[in-house]
Amino acid sequence: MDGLNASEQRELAGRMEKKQMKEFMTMYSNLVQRCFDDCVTDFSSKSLLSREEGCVMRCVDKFLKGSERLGQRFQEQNAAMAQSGQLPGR
Amino acid sequence: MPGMADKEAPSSQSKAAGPAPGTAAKAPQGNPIKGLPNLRLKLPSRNWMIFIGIAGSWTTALLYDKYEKRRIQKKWCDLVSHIALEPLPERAMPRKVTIFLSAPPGDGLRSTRDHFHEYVKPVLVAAAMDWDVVEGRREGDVRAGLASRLRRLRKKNGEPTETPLEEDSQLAIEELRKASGITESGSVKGDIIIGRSTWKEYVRGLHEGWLGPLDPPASQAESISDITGSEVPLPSEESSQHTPGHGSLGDVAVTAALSPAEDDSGSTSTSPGDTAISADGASPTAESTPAAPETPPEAEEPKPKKPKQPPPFIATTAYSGAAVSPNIPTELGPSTIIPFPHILGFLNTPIRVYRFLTRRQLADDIGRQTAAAVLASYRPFHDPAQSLVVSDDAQTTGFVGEEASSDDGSGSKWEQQGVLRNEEAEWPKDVRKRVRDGSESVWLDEIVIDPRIGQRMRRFEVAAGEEARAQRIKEGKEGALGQIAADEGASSA
Repeated sequence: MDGLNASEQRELAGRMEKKQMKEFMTMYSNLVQRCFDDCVTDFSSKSLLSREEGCVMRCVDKFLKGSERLGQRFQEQNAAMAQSGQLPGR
Repeated sequence: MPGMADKEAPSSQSKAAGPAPGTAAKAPQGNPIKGLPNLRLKLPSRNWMIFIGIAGSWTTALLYDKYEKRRIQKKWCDLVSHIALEPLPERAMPRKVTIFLSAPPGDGLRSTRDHFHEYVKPVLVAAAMDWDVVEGRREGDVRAGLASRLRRLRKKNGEPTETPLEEDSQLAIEELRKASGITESGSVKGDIIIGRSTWKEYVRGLHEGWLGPLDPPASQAESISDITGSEVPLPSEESSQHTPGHGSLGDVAVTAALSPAEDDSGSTSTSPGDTAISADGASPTAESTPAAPETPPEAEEPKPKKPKQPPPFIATTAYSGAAVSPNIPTELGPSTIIPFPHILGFLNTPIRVYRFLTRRQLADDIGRQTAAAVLASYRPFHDPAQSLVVSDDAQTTGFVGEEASSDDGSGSKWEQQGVLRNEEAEWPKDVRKRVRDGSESVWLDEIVIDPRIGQRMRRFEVAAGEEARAQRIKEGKEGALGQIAADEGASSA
């Protein structure tokens, strides 16, 4: 970020933000897709059954927790890679 | 059957007058049904009987053993499977046990790995435990690996040292975790050690790590730089020969260290960058040239050298004089020792066949030990300072060695020394030939225990209630926690 002047930095920040927004929306749509597919299977009634409701809530919960965990491990591996300067592996 | 046929015939005759569509299946009128062809039951010939007897008994024994072994393993897995169902907060790492594997004397690492996969791993997987492995190919690898880990721990906790901790990826991960607030769940970690040789190395490494200096003695460093090219051939590649005096430069350095001038060799203390390499996992740089031990020193060639095993930083005789590290915890990580019966030799084939047909007992023992490690129930090792130890070893396994005898004041018999002693008798004779240059051999020497370390060691052992519960699970009276029993249909406690 050092070699960029102010307007370029602003541009970079804007692009990063757009990218993050995009990723967030992708994650959201994945979440909705996955949880709906797995939880809501019975279409004989058009309202959510209570078990489907519970399932959906738990699905969102687990999805977010899972992606948080994955993010942590990914971050750690990134740091390890940066440290050792190469891809991890034997 | 002929009698019944006769009864049928008169009835068919009597019905024959009237239309009887059902009689089409019966015999034609007037003929009594004798039925069966002319079978004369007889036994097969004598030779066939012998064959069937031998093959049948072998097969039955094998199948029964397999069936029982599977049931026993399932029993131990069900005992601990409730742990896998426990929710884990997202900022916590699961509990980690450390496994110590080492190649048994005279064989390669693969046999230990297979033993682990077959007996220990199922229970660990059933409880969703995380584990970490310290492997050792040669004699002393596990010791060196464990000692270097302990030294690293001590350095991280700030003990003064000349060879500061080098920044590596492991450190980066740990710091990141601490910064993000990620905790370790479970206060009890544990060690699982497989086999008596590994156990000896473990105890030695434990002492070396906590009692030894953080910096390598100066005399080692220069001998390391002198002798380079002579690689130690992997045990699996060579004939089962225990040749510590030849290729392992570690012992040469140890003799140099044990000779009178131990402290003041006063030469350059090159940092042994190899301490970190020690023995974690398979090293890809182990493309060893199958060199005869007498290759001339090739110090100039930049070929990838196998990581050297750093020799012990402290001799066993120096234990009592050494200061124990201030960072040592009150209880050293509980450990459990898994029996690893391993016997080689053509003439031992009957023994091996017998063991092959009684693997269920081994599975029971190992399952019990591993379940104890998973359930984190432990007790102190018996030490000779306690008087008249009540033996509760009787209820665990037959492999557990002698408990402390009532002591004669010399403090010689620790429980750690006697564990799995009968396995030593199975080692190949070549291994037991001691190399004459007076160097230390971890496998052949008696275990030396410093009381400060010995009293801190703990041992995993299944509580009696759990043992009884396991028995009930096996009989089907109870199911795993959180699940319904198979037979009864009643939910368990």
